[in-house]
Amino acid sequence: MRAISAIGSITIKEGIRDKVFLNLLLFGLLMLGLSLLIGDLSMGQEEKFVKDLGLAAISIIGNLTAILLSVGSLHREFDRRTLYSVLYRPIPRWGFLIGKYVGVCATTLLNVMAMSLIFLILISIRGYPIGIGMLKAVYMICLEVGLIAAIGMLLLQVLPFAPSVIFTAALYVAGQMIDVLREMVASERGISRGIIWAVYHLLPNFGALNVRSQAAYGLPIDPIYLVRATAYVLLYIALLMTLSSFRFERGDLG
Amino acid sequence: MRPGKYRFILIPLILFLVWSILILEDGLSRESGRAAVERLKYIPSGQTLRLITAGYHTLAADLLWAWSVVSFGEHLNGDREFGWLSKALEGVTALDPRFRDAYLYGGIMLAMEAEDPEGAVKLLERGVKNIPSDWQLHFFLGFYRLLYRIDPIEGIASLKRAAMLPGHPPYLPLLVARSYTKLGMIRLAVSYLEQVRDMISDPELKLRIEAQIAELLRRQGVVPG
Repeated sequence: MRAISAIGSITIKEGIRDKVFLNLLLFGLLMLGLSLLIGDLSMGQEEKFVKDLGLAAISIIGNLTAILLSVGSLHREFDRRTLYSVLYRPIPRWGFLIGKYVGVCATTLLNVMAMSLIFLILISIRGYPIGIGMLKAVYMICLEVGLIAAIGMLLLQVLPFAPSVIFTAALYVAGQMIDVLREMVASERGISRGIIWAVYHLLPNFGALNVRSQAAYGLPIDPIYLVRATAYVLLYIALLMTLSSFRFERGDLG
Repeated sequence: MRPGKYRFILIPLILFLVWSILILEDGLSRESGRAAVERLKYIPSGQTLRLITAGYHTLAADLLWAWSVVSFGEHLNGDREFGWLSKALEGVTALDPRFRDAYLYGGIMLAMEAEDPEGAVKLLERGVKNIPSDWQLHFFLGFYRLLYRIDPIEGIASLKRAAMLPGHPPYLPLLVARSYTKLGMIRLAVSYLEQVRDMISDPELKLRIEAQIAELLRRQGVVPG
């Protein structure tokens, strides 16, 4: 456990020093500022505009950070061969992987929290109410980035760096379109229906984690729904990390 | 090259370059502005837009709305070509079905400036379907139907629905009765006003409605009891 937390804290330090992390954070803050300016074009619904754009900026930057840090930090270990000096110590491989994941998640959540805090300050300066829905939407973004980081780590086990980044992003986009697949399951027949059904159930349902629109409109978000979404994401992460650890234990690190 | 010696060349050269860049930039931005408006004509259908914006529907709706508002302003002061507007508003409301202002202001843009009242009615029909509790959407739907004679009976029905929703102004029931009267349906106007009178508690409004009922009955040759 101590080894996992040590690897986690090293990963956090590396992540914070990473130029990609800082650039994305700066870009995110720029987007938040821009949302206030674009809000003026809304012709009456400035509050909805600002909240929509701000939450989307936090989600986009948070997910990009999670993809690049999860794939990048593990890839660096392989590339610089620093992995061997760590695994030389009495640390199980799965422990190293979990430590890395915890570190990446903590760094990404730090990014999301920093952007959310600044965003909430900006909207309260603007005089818009900060409902509990906004906090719930930020919480769901945190779940999203946790899931994305686990996907990135698994894909790097089987693919090179660039395809891992691209496929993780593609899975995120596909997971947002899960409603379309559900409709296709209902309309298709035969083998194609079976294939779509399997894809529909295997893909992570990122669409279900998107409550940004409800938050922007101030619509209620059921706390039970949040609990179910949390359970879903935690179980999915557990599955992905188990597969990752299995592959990492058996894989050739050369 | 020492700047001091060649200052007489450098300064005009810099000024010439800045001037050329500004001229080119102006032309480019005008061209790209025209191209952006042209692109609005080819917006994909609502379903396709939802598909390609993957999870960021409301963000895409906001940006498309902002783009439409800016383009509307440009055309309003220019060629008044609004053929793209109804498609753009369809896109905005498909991406974000609860975008109230897109229905409300979009309806005004379509009916008043683009001279497309049918488009405004279609837009507001989608609006009242998606946000049924908003009295203003029902009101404007009824207003356009009556003003442009697009199914006036249904227009009055929309005004009646607006008059039943919270937040409506007190004059709305009287407007409904007046609309019935204009269409020659005085009996319906009276019966509607009687229903409203029995429902409300505001004594001042009750008196105004009573006066309106009396006036309508007088017109029909009935002495109010």
